[in-house]
Amino acid sequence: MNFIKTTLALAGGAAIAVSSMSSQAQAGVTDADIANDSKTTHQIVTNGMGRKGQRFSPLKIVNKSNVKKLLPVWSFSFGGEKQRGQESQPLIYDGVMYVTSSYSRIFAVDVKTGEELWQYDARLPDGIMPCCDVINRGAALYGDLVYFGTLDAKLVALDRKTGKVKWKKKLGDYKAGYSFTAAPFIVKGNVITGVSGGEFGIVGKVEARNAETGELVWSRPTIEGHMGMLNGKPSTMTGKLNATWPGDMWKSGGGATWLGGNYDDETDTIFYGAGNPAPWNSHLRKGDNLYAASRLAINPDNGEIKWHLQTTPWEGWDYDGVNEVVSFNAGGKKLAATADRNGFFYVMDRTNGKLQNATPFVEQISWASSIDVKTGRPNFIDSNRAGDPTKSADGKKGKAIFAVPSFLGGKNWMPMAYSQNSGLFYVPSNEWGMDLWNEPVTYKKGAAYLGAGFTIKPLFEDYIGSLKAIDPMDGSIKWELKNNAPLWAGVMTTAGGLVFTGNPEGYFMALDDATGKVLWKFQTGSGIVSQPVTWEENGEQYFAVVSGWGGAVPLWGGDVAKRIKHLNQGGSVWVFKMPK
Amino acid sequence: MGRLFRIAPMVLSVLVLANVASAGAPPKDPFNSPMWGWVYEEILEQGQVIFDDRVKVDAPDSAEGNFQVPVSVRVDGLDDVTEIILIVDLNPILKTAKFTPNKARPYFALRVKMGQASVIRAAARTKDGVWHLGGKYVDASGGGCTVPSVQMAAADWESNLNNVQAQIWPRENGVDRIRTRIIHPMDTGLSGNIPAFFMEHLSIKNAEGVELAHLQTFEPVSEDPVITFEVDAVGETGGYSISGMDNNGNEISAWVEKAPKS
Repeated sequence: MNFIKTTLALAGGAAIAVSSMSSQAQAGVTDADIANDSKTTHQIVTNGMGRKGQRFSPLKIVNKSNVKKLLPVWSFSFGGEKQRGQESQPLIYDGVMYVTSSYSRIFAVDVKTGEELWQYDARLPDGIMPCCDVINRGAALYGDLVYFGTLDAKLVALDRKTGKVKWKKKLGDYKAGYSFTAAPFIVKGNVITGVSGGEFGIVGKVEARNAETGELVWSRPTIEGHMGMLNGKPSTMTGKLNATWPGDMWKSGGGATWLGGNYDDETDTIFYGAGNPAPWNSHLRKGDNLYAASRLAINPDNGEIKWHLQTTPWEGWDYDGVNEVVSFNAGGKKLAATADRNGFFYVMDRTNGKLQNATPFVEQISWASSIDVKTGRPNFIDSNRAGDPTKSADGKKGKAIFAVPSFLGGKNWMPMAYSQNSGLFYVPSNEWGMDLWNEPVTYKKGAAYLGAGFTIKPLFEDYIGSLKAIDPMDGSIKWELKNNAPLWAGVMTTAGGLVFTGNPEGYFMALDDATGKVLWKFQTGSGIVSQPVTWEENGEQYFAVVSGWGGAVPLWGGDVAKRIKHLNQGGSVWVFKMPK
Repeated sequence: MGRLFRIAPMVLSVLVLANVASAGAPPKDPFNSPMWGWVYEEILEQGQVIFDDRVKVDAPDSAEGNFQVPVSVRVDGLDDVTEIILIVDLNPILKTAKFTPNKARPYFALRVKMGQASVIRAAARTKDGVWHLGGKYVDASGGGCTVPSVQMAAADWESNLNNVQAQIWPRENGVDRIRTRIIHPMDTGLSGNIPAFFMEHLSIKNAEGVELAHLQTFEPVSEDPVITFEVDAVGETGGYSISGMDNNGNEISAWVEKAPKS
């Protein structure tokens, strides 16, 4: 027995030596692994469970008839006193779960046992400025490295087996308000990232770095007037200087790329969203303010913008344009859908950004009557733009309005899912509005750059959260599941006819994809504001979800606080399967 | 502090006993340390061991402060030293540093945290694989490893992190003595809710990028490590690069130039 073990060890050693000598070593996660992630059921190597971000699993071992048998396998605690919002999506590869947590931590956990293999804790400066909790939304895997971003705006590449740092690169100056909490992703050997910090007057950008070395390949600012970079040299200006921005306002124009993006291989396009223009007070920056509040279609080879869809031109309600673009094919067309903060669900041709339809997915939208499908522009209701403070009596506070949706959006960051089974999108939305007024403001590095005051208000007595099944062909809503607290968790759906999500009340839930009926739920001990996944091992279907209440709602919640103040914090991963 | 400590040696000594039959008993330790068996098994990997006066550890008889105990190691009269490991037997983390004297003299100095009175030993390995051991017993009151760093409490720690101070003293024997101080909290991870955060390695290179000395450092090295090397002199003028990284991936990078002769 000893002899055999020794031989195997030697053979293993030899194999490692050979692969490390080859410059194109394909150890670990390959391009093919990433390209096929949506069809592969034994691992999850991308955020979105596939590059297109559909969060659809072809697995049906667990289905409508047996889902009620699901039981926990293990639970893993992130530990410490650092239990804040946990918004991560776990990755599963080679028997290991890679999961990030609050305060820029990442853990490698044995999938079978729930035992920790290693952990990396970023030592964060005291001066970090995350606007909306100290969250992290997940990691990327490529080769033998695992990548994730930190609250002090660093991108870290770690050896996936040991957790040792391979390289670490600065994405922005945290003292100016930059941070990075989204999941990076891999396209053609590069790791793609954005930046957070729109509330501090930073300038959004999408960047590609060599995944092996971390060297910058290209950088594309999201605000017109700023220069892009390609291979160490200035490339092209974003947009045309002062075409849609007055004066110098573009210099601190926001457009933060804080929610990550994805990649569609059929059209060879990176989709990335840009946040609200800064400051919030829109009277200081009259014009469309490109490319804030827009979806950008980017050429992955050079960072050039192929086309864009600006969902809220001259944005004035904090309707970020960051929400995920999910690619899907239907009716012989290459389509993509996005559920915007502004309350409209857009379906577009993803080869050129031309709208197919755009329909409201929340109630009582007040700022626009509809979206013009021909031009892609909203039909504004002019009286629902907060007033110019310079026109007020004392010059300090403009006319207040009540606008719907609230600044936290008809839908916020939490990703929707598209089912190839039902052809429907499952969209986690919230029914709320806000009192909003403008104030004077000037830019100062590292200081909040809003120029607005606001307070959030629920629209209905009995619910805020609303999970909706939407038919992308006509925007019709097939069913709705109401939830007392605002929904803040991502959604996943399976070929077994199930929709999975969690709520702030702590339940991990399985719903019938045709009716929205809750077929199973499990109390995880703290609120769920994360992104569930499913995979298969040895013929059994596993599920994982991160539990830990937090995120933007408890920090900004206004009147909403009444519905959530009793919710307790946590920080753990739960794994489920059916007993054998 | 004491609790973690006392449990560790007990558990480990059981392991050692269980292994005695197969591994052969370690040679007798002149310091009679309760951790010697573990050091022999886990750090020296049961290699051939000689207690050797040519390996000299210099440290105070009694530590005046547990957080900064100065230690130097010099090997005199042994050729072909390939590595030197510094071990504090009764610290919760025993292995303190590993020195590789590529083109440096088999000498280095640094400061260590001490959890309690202990032997501090250096194991110098020669090309033939033999470990040559020297050491010194240092009296200390205790608590050095489980207390947060001073910088942990400072709001602006990040602005000075990995800053490097350094100076070169040319010696008559063709040696440049380089002393450097790196600003780093060196948190051990043993203090409540403060994760380990420490410098992992430091290199001295010449202008051509040739590594002259390499030091791997572990949690017990003192906050703001002060480290001394003796390398083959670069010449009358010139300088050395000092580079390294901590366990978070933060890089250390500096250049130190010889002062012109006055």
